[in-house]
Parts: sequence; C-alpha cells; structure tokens
Amino acid sequence: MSLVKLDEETISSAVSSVSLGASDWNSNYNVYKVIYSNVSVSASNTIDIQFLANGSANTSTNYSMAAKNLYSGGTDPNNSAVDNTDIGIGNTITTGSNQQSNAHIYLFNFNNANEYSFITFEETALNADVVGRQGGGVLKVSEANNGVLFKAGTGNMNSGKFTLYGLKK
Amino acid sequence: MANFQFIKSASGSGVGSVSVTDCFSDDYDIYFVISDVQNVSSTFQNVSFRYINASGIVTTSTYDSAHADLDTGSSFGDAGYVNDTDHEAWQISDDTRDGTVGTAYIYNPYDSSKYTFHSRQNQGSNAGEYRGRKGIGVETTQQRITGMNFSSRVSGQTADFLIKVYGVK
Repeated sequence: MSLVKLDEETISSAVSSVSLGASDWNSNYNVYKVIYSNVSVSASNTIDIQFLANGSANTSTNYSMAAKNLYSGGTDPNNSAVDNTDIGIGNTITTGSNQQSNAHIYLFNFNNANEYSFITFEETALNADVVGRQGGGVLKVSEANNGVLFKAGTGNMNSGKFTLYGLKK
Repeated sequence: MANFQFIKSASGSGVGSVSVTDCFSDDYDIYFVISDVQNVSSTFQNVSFRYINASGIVTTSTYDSAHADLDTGSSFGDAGYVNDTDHEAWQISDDTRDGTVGTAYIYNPYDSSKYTFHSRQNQGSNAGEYRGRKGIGVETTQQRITGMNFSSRVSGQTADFLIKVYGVK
C-alpha cells in the first residue's frame, strides 16, 4: 500500500468540527484513506462524519450506515441508521481520563459525480471499557465529494490528529 | 515521500512465540501490522498478543479487548475481555484448516502519556469452519511500548509466525 498524504489537521483545543480535503483535495486518486487518533471530546459524544461537496459539508438526510459495535464489557450489538444527517463512525466517549477515539476509514467513489460515495471504517476507543465500531456507510446523493468533516455529536472535540491520504494507483 | 513505511519483520518456524523488538519509536504515532501464522500444531487455537516495554513482555492485568467472529458454518459470535493479562484471542486457527492471517492498526504505542489502542481484522478457522474476526483492544497503562509478542494461547503449541510492521506517517 502506498499512501500519499494530502491533508492533516491537529487540534489541541475545543473545535466544533475538523475538515479534511476541500482546497487540499487531489482528485487523481480512486480510493482515499483517513486516519484519526487521540480524539477527545468536551462532553459525552459520538464522533460523526459528513462528506464535503465543493468544500462544504453535505448535511442532507441521505446518509445510511450499518456496523457492528464491539464492547469488551458485554455483547456486541449491531448498529445502523437510515437517512440520517451524518454517519456515526465512533462510539460514545466521555471526558474521562484517557477516553479517546481512533479510527481508519476508506473513501470510495468520491470523485465520481454519477455515483454515490461510500466509506468503510474501523474504530477503537475507550469509554470505561474498550469500545469500537466496524462497518460501512453511504451518502445517497450522486455528486462529487472532495473531502470529509468530523464533528462530535453535540459538543466539541478537544484534541486529535486527522490525516487524509490518497492511495497511489 | 512515501507515507507507509516498512520498519521490520520477525519470524520463527515451529515455535511457541515470536517477539518483534524495538519496532516502535517516536518516528510514528500509528503502525500497521501483518500477522501470518501457519502450520499450527494439533491443538493450537488462539494467538495471544502482548506488548513489550523496556522491562520485557508486559503481562500485567491491563489488557481489555473485544471481538466479533464471522463464522462460515454457524452463528456469528462475540467475546469481550477486561483486565486480562494479554489480548488473548488476537486471531485463531485450528489444525485442519491450517493458518490465520490478519492486519492491525496500533495507535500511540511509543507515547508514554497515552494508552495503546488497536483495531484488527483477520481470517482463520475454528472447529471445522472458517472464521473471520474483527477486534479492538487497549492496554490501559500510560507507558512506552517498544515491541510486540505473538504466541500460542495454548501452552506447548507451535506454529510458523511471520510478523511485518509498517509505520504510517
């Protein structure tokens, strides 16, 4: 696998969202990869993703996803959402010590205006016990997308490093 | 510049364990690991995973993990482990459908101020059926991790281990 870094954002104080791509997007790739690490939140929150179109987040109710939640302290429930305004990549974490979310995500079809854009994701986090989420999602809009936006469910993200790569053909 | 860089590999044939020493450094925050375990002995089951620090293999009760199993011949299952002495079910193989191969992402191992997280996916077998496994975990100590140890969870069992480690810039 050959990764070419296209964009990177590091936060160390409260922000409502982080975007990757837009002016830093390079459409010469078929598949992209995003890795984020050490993401903490200001209140009990999930970590959610939206796709950028012309540099702005698509906030329409066209996101659907399905995933398997993983949980060290009990059974692993399924997780799904249809026609939502975003995709929940990460489980709920709180402000507790060492609670953070990490994940890697593949982006597919983002440059194709005639097809939907898809992602797969794999998250690992801590919320008292270790929690994670592995699954996929889609934005059911035929449009070109040129990046992603990460946000906490209702509050802010306090820390984290977010990196966008293109997978070299 | 390539952003996905080979660091080192370690291997052993017909052995109970293999260590990959000094593969983590402050050059990277995130690592990609390939674990290939073949020719397992008659009652080999799970591969056990532990970290290595400056004092040796970490065997404290500080490993939390969870996984979901995707079975070809039976209902999917899951398991969780809290305060374990290893990531005891990293991947699995029985001797009749020999071998298990998988990948993992490891976050923050060398940062002495953070816990070490991972997510993983692998393919193996158990009791007459093939088994895919999706897993996560955390080692809940703020410590500097320098390497990894892979071993048979069942004492006295052996396999051929090949481990490759890459850094993600």
